[in-house]
Amino acid sequence: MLYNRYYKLDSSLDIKNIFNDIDIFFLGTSSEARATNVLSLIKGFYKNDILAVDYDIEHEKYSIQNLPVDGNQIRKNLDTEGKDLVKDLGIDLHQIDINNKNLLIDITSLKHPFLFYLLLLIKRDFQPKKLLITYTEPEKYVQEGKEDNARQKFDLTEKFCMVNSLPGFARVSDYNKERILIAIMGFEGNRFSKAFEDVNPSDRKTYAIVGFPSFQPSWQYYVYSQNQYPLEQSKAFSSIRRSTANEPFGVYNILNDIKNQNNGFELVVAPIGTKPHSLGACMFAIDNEDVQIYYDFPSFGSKTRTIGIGKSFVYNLTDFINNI
Amino acid sequence: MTIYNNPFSIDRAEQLGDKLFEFYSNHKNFEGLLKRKSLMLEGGRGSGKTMFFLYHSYFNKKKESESKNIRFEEFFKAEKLIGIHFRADSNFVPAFQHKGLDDDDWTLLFGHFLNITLSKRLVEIIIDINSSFDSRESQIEFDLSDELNILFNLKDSIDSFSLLLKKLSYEEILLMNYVNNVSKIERPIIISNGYLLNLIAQSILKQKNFQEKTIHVFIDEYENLLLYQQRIVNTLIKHPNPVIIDIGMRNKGCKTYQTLGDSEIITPPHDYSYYNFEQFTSQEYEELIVDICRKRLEKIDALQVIGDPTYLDIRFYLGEYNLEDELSSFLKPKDIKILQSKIKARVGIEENCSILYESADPLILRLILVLLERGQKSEHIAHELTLFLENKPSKFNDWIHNNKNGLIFLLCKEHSKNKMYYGFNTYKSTSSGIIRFFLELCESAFKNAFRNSFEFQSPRRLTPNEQSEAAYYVSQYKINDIETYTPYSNKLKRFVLLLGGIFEKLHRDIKLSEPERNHFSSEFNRLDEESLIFLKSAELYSVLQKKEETKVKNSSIDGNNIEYHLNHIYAPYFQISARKIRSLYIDPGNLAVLISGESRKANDVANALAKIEEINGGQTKIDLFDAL
Repeated sequence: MLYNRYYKLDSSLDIKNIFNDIDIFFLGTSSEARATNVLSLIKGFYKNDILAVDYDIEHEKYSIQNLPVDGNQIRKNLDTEGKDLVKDLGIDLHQIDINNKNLLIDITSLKHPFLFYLLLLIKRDFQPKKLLITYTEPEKYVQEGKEDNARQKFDLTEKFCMVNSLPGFARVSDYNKERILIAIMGFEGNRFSKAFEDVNPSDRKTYAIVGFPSFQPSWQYYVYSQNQYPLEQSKAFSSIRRSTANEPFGVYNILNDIKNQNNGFELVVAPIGTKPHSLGACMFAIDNEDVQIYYDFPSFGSKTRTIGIGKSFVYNLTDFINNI
Repeated sequence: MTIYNNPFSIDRAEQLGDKLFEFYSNHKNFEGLLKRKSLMLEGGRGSGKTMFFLYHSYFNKKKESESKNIRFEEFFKAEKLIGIHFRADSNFVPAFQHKGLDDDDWTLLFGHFLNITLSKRLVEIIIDINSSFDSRESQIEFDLSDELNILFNLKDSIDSFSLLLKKLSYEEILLMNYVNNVSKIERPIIISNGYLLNLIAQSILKQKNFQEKTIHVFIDEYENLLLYQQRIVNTLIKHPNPVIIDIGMRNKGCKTYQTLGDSEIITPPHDYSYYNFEQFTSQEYEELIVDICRKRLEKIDALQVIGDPTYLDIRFYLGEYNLEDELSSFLKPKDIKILQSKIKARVGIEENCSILYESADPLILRLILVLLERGQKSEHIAHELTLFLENKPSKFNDWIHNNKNGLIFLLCKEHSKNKMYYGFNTYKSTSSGIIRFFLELCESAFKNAFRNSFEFQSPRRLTPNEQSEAAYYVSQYKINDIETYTPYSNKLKRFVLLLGGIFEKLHRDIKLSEPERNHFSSEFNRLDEESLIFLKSAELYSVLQKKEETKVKNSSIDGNNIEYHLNHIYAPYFQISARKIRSLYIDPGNLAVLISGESRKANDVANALAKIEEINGGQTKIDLFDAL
């Protein structure tokens, strides 16, 4: 059981007090306005290292560059200049020297494979003093077609790369066990369909998690409508669990409950919903080596998927990384 | 809410668990497929490959014999094949790449993984056999200690299969730890491709109880393997020693025929035999789906109580499509009068042509309008119609025969009525030879019927509406699924929407120049490489199905004598025919634009291909941006 330790970053909080002792700040790279919101919030007082992370899903390569508070990052061609995630990130983190430091990671635009592997390494191989994670919601998502269209659809994914195991999470499946699929649902129902198709869970052994309360009122209904077919197909309608869309701890605890209720089955978790929910799935998979992660590697290409800046949150994962 | 048990709700072999054998339908075409030579099995998703492999795997065969109260000794004596099922999990096998290692490293590591995991499964079977035999003399002796000591560089000798199983599990963990942490963990001892598996197999096959048997490894979802991984498996196919490798994959799932030897390939019939699960004749496919459905219906308690075999036949529930019934479901007397008036307006009041608008048969009336649009003389049509009505030889017979199904699409459109998709034969053709699609259609149709108080205690035919709604529902979500078919995803969906849009528009042609066009041909040998790869990917997911040409025309024009069918499961979505009737020729240049051209240009090509006259005299344009 993880206790919820998260706060909304608004005017009622003393933001300087929360982030004042941060030594190293990791953040992803994106053209979305919300991607730099936390940076904007702290730039008035934060003087330490800012490390901008870029990641290429297809080649499992990354770059980490020092970013001046007000500076722009030079984008590298990762295919030729990037480093190998599994081979090099541990070495880089040693060089950055994250042990005994206070870390802040903004996951708003950090890609899933990098986030999962980074957190795995931090928990397994390093001892930072503190780990805070921040996330900024979008104000809204880009929609396809006209806004007054009753069947409007959010325009999120340009294409899917091939399904693959997340780096560091390649785990041999126990073929003697029947499988349970837990789909953490998002706006793209076809991703749930694909997970159901690929994972092949046992009959009536699919659970679905919906973000509720959602980022914006009524967005959960959109999630239901977009996932209607896979929910019917997998018979998961009666196994829907709800967890606040903007924090990871609820999902962690739900996954834990499902696991405890299903001894003898192999759990396959598909983190295809909100980023905070994916963080919860990541934490759970790190703590449970017998759990499989299914991820379909959506590629957003040059698309800007979101509009505006919504609420920002901070999650304290210090207890999580220190619990062995 | 009614509590019901939908016999079609499970459509995946993996969901059948211990009862899988009860649902397996052993069609005569499957006899003799598993021989002392490898088998390459192709077929779309849901065509039955996994079912076939799982059924023939050792543990399922054993469960089947137990269910029949057959003693293990008898079962084992009769069973000539020990089957091991291995699924190339798309979520797992691609982990063996990148991470700073080169291809040679990964070839060694994946070969080692296959060795370990397949050996593990074989050893589990051996342990089960030993525990199932009553007498000790029948048991399999362990005589691998010396070899294993050398292979694993052991201090403590392995002297039993259970210890070997533990060792293999340990080696598997070591290997995965290394794959996940290549820079931190020492590389485990690697065993050459297939060596350990064949070593164990040789050891047991020389023993008394095994001498007549073969060991088969069924590698399912072979298409998920990376190219170098397929070369590893191909090497095992080329050199069975003694384990026989059978592979199952979607159409076009084989990325290479090469083995690990650069100049060596696998070829049929020398190295493997080939079978495609989508190549049943219409009659064979019907036999198979009827039998599969019967096995499911037999499980319904209420039907067992009734005991009438009629109710175990899916054809009873689906019935047959009837064109006249569909027409009468939406055409009213005033519609007939409108058709008569239109003809009268076209032909005037000439006395010898009055027969043209005297009929009350909407099909005949609508056909006459089509014939007039084609420029046929009214006197000629009237003459042929007279002969037809007198049951004399007449061209009108051919006209009706060739156009009646096309006419109904036209009439539905003109009356803003959704085309109905019902009846066993309609479901059969809509499922496009893919068993799972047929089961999904049935599942959805029965679900609709249950909502209308259907119960197996008093079985009835499912209504046309219940069936048609199911067909639309399944078709819609199959269209949505295309977005997830990597690597082309949205590009593939765009192509399907454009192609379906073209066929949809051609179904509205008031001349019905060529009714029911739902597939295309081209000069594929003139198509660019990228487009050919795209078509191959579409075949992989059975979005397109390659077939011999319906009518072989001048080969100098069409070149390759093959056609691509838009999977008929999409027919209800576009309201087009699910039958294999006529094809559309698409110039290779235009096809390339439809596949990967800039959106507006692709739209233009689609509209040009679908250029037909419509009843309102205008043109409804295909708009990609609306469609997506």
